[in-house]
Amino acid sequence: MPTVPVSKLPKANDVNCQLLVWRRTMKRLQFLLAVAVTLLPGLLHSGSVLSAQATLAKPAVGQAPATGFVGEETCAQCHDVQAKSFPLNPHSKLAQTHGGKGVTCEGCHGAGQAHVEGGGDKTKIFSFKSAPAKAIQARCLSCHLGSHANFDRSAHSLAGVSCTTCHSSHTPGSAEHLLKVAQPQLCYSCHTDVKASFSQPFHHKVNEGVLQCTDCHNPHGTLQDKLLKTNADQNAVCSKCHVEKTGPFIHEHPPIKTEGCIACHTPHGSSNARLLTHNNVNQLCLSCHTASANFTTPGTPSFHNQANQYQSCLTCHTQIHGSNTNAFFFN
Amino acid sequence: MNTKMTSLRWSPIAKLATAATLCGLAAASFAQTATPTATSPAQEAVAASAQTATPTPSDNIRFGYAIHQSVDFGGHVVSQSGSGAMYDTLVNIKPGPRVLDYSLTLLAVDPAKAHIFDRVTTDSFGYGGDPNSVSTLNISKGKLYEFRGTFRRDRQYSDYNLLSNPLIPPTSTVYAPWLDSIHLFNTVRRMTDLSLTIEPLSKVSLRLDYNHSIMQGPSYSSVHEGGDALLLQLLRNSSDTFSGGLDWKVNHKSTLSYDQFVMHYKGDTRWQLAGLNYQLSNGTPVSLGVDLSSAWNAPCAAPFTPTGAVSPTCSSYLAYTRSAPTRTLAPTEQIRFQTTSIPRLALNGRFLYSATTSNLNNYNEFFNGLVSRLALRQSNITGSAHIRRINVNGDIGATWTITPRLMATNIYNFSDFRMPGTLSLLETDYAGTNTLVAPGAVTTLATTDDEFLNQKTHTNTSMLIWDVTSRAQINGGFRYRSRVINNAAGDSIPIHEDWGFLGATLRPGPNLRINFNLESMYADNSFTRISPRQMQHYIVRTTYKPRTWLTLAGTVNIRESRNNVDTVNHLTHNRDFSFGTNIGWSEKWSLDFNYSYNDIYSSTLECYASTPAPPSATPAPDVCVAAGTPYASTGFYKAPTQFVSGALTLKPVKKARVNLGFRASNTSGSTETFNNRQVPGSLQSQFYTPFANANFDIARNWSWKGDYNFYGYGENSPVGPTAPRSFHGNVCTLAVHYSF
Repeated sequence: MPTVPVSKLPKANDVNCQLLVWRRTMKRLQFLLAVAVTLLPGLLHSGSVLSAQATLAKPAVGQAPATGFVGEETCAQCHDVQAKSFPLNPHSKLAQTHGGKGVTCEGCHGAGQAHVEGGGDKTKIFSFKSAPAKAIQARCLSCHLGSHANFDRSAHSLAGVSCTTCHSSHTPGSAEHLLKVAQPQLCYSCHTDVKASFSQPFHHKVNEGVLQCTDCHNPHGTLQDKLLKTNADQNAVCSKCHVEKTGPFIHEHPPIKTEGCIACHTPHGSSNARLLTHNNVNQLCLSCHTASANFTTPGTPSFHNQANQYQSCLTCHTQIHGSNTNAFFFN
Repeated sequence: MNTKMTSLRWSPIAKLATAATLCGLAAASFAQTATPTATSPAQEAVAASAQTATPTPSDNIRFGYAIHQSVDFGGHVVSQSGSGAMYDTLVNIKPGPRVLDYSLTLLAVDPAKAHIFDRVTTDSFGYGGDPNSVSTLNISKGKLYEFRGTFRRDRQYSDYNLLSNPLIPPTSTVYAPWLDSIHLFNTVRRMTDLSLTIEPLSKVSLRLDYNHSIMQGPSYSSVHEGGDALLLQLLRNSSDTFSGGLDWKVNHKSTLSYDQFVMHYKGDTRWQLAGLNYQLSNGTPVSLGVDLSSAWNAPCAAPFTPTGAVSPTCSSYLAYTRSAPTRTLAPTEQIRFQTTSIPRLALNGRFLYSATTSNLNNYNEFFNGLVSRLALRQSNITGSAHIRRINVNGDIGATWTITPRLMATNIYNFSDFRMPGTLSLLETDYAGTNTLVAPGAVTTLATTDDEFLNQKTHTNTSMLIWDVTSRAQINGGFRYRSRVINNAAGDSIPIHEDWGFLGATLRPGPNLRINFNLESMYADNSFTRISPRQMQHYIVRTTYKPRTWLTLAGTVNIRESRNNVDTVNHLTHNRDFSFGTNIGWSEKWSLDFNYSYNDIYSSTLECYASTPAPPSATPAPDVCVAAGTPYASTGFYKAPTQFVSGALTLKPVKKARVNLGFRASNTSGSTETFNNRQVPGSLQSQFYTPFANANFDIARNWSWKGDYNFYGYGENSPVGPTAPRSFHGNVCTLAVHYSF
């Protein structure tokens, strides 16, 4: 950058200097004004989910023109079953806005004039039954993206599972979240392997109704693998119930914090007690606690004669999830 | 407000509510038999039941609300044979009267005139003595607020007697085998979740949540001093988590959220000596511990004197108590955002900071007895511990819609936790070699310890998703993850992982969906011997609904992983093949069938000391021999598991419904045996539960229910030096359902 001699710099009482300052100030003001004018429509437009609904109601490509709204009364003339049940639908809360003239059928299905004039032509209105998953997803997420921000990257989305695969807005089988069928049966319908896991002798009590799949997983996606939730302090979701095993401890059993509970447990179900991955605890412990060239994990000591009373490591190492007072997890 | 009372009538709403309740109970009782797949004709009524019609004047309307209630009164008749401990561990249903189910729905006839709430629903089951009871309460008022509350109570009885059992050899001259698990649990966990969202649809909404979880009850544990004493462990742990959050919908494309969590944990578990089964010569009760065996000279070569009293020079326990009251406070702040303001780009992210402080201020451990090896007659350990867990998380995800058919996503996750802790203990020891003699010379020892465990993780996942046609999508991507784990021992373990992803979703027809996913991972290091350095995970899922009444679903889920470095040779796989089908030809009958086969296998080179050596032992690598563990085994574990279930639902007439079915799982495995008293136990086991239930409408608003469940558990291996674990149980539940 070229340097300017001090003598050449404008002085404060110089008229040219004042003009220069004035012009710079005006330029800044003009810039700020331009920014404000640009942002103003957005700020005024910001209202609520309702504004998103208004956006949603605009016809998609190939749909009826935006002016072709017919109103819910017209829809009800043919779709009376859906219309009668709609007041109890959570979406009706939107309909109750604006003096009862809020968003209703056409908020999701698009303008219905062409559909009506076509004698109920299904191709002239958005049908959630026939639309591809991506289109359904786009419709629903136009309002629900705020709470389902990870859905389009989730395993469910990638598998072509759309909102209406699990939810039914008009004929839900479960009052909760408009699910087609209550949990866990809904999840089992695709995850047939998980159903078998929860039928093992030892399992988390999902089939008994104490727990639900959504206690640990968020089907709409999370920032974790396996759609897993995390606890309030970003610990593993297991720690919400098994809080006494969370610590922090002076003496941590490190794999629990670094590899997770699944290093030793199978979370859904197991033929083994305590959902352990092995039927014999010693074998499980030895799989890590064997002297190795590549690991600093301590091996079992020479005086642990496996043929004798050391049938179970847990007889002595009772506080295996962590201890504040004993490095060997004795107490 | 409409205060008109209408007589109880069998209105359509009541019918539907009843149906919903019946379905709810059926779902709870026969959860595995229900058919989850998309509605078939047989399920139309079930699906419709959840969609209650608009209130009509014929409903039971009071104070402006249409009220629907139903209650199931009844009880269980139980007969059981075989192992009561295992029955309680796996089933634990006891006889007696019950309130099996209760539901209430209040719906405002005119929501505009309802002041406090326009909808209340509550449902409960399991009260009166069942091991599990759950209540839910949902209240909402239009757009003003939504409240959800859940209370769950879960009794956990656990007595699998091979777990933590010393397996006393029958050759011991004093043969005192442990027939039950020395770590028996009989605890109850109660969980309360409350959630209130104010103005959920407005520009700014407020969320308030509370979770309370408490686990308490008696259980057994053990402690290692001279011998291993049985302890009564009085569990009492609880946590309270408060959270408040604000969602600001900046505009219809952006949301900004702030969450504040505060978790408080109280650990008040206490331990005291149990198993004072013997006496000293002066009559003082004494415990010799759980591994009393002359074959092992445990706890000493001659634990008893000729008179039958416990030898005063043998390691034993006269008293033991321990308390470790722990208080943990974990405040966490979180900021989240989501926006689609930039065309074709969806962004969301989160930043989280959590600073946990855990304090153990008054640790107290008292031992009175004898540790002959140390000539320790009595000891008292007091002290305190102070631990922190500082956790910083940052995540950001982006989805770029490059073209209508091509999408790119990227997620970056950062996690950094540090757990430093300081321990300070003061141990006061009293010397002695005889339990009949008072504790002798005193020595004190003050110790401090500073420990920490840290892990910093960076993960970046990138994917491309391409809609090849309207019926086919493929995706692929890459993940890089780096972890660095540090601890106070001076370990610094860097791990770099490279992942590849490939997936395809095919919809050859509107009723067929096929998904394929492959994950492959390579790591240059691992933290544990059983952490994989190479992993492949293949998943194929398909659902096919060729007819409205027929649904087929299948899954192939194969996970292979290895850590095949020298002196480890870890290999594991889970190969799961499963399918399910539902045939719902009409409302009069439906059939449900499921089958799964899971081939579970693992092997890891394991070294140990053993005298005598087991037949399968081989000479150990040098590193093991140098560590004093001269024998090695492959450590193989095979657990092929099958599951089959079927259910037939019949509804021959409108007022009757019958359900018949069964569930069975079978594990037939084998494993390395280090100890000749070790038995496969659950590794060769069957668990089967055939069932039948019927439901008849007997009068207006009344129906009768009968439910029979048979529970059977058996093992194909010898029992071992414990109590048998097989059992049969018959649980018959009779109930009447009344809706009003």
